[in-house]
Amino acid sequence: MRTDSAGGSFECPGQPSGLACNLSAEAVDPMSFAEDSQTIAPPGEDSHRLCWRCRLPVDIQAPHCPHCAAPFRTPPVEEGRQTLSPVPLLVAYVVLLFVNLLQVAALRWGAVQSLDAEQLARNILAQTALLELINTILVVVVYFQTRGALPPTGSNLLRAAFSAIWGVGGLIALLVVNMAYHSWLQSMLGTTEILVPWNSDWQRSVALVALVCVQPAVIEELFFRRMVLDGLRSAMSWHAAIWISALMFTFAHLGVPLSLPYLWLLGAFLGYVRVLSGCLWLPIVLHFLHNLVVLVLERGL
Amino acid sequence: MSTTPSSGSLGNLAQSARSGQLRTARVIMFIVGGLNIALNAFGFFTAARIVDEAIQVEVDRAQQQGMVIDPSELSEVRTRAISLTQVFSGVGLAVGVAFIVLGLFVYQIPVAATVTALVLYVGMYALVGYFDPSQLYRGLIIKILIVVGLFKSIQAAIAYRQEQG
Repeated sequence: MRTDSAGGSFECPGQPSGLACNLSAEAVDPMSFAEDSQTIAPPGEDSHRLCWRCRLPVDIQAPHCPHCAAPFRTPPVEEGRQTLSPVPLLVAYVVLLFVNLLQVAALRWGAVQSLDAEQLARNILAQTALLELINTILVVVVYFQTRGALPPTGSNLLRAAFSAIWGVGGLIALLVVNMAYHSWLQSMLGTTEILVPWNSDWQRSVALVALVCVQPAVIEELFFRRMVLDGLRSAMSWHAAIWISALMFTFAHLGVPLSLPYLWLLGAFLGYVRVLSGCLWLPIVLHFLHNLVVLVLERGL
Repeated sequence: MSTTPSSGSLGNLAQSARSGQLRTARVIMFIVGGLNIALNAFGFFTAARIVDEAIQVEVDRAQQQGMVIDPSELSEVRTRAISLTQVFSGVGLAVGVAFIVLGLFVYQIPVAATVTALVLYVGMYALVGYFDPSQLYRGLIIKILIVVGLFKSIQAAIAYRQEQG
């Protein structure tokens, strides 16, 4: 049994309960390791590394520290599992970007062709539905092509619940920033966005919630926070992967060019939620709530 | 004594080729960044003149169709258009600076620098295309070459990083 610096004690991994851990003092010297999780080799095995945060030994296959829940920058690669290269994901992203550009062009064309507001609203909804369907098919195909190489999500309920608490707090703060930023933009530039009224009939409201809240939350999170983020994190640090995937998320919203700086912040927030919670459902729920609140605030109840 | 090249020297050759690809990526980033800075600095400082010329064209067209222009509304539109032009030129300038910075750090953080450069380049291209669709096919071959060059640099950067450990 070893005692950590806080006075607690822990069992040495790989040893029967109650046996002393045989790591040498040199092996746990913090100065001999970089900040990231480092592999250490307890005598006779090569399956542990030191946690970068609490410095306790952790199984090399664990996606986060079981003592302090710190995530590991470079996830271990399972035997027989190929690593995910970011290149095919970037190619898929370029294709997605051009589908979005098509969507924007189609919406503009619809706005020019439509003479009355009702027809315009119908056109916008129909075109958005069609292009979101194309996006969905593309993302699902890429997911099934790459899922064999994706690392496991590795979450637990307690960690996710704790992340949900600060995640909701962060979301509220972000929505305040969103409102302040867009009020400032409106005072500076005025608004030119065409809004589909959502309270005209219940079918349209359901369609709007599906197209603005459900599809983007599920498909964008699956692509940017699961595939892209995990693909990038195999080749760079967590923080770089989060901010770059957030930048990609930002440019995927070409239809709202003035909101891009805010969307970068939102993308990074959802990336941190994904990494710190370890699960994908939490960013999906937060993304859905964010879009729902924005939809209600824009169009009124 | 061995007569065949050792795996170490082969590794060095491969690493040297990757290093060359990263140098190409750095040149691309410097050129794209420099052009962005020059064009957007020009746009930022001559925003009023650009907007006035565009407004004059629209006013002439409207007057030919017999429309009457409200001068106070026109002045408001002009002020907003100048602000918008300066905001976008400012963003373009910042992106140009970002390309230069990424070029400077391409050997320290090869994968992050090249991936960010590609995302920024493609994203800005799509954004410019959103505002002016004619820009999408202008200089298309050069744009495709830049994107291909950046993709090759990402592959080289991943291999370079793995070799470096």
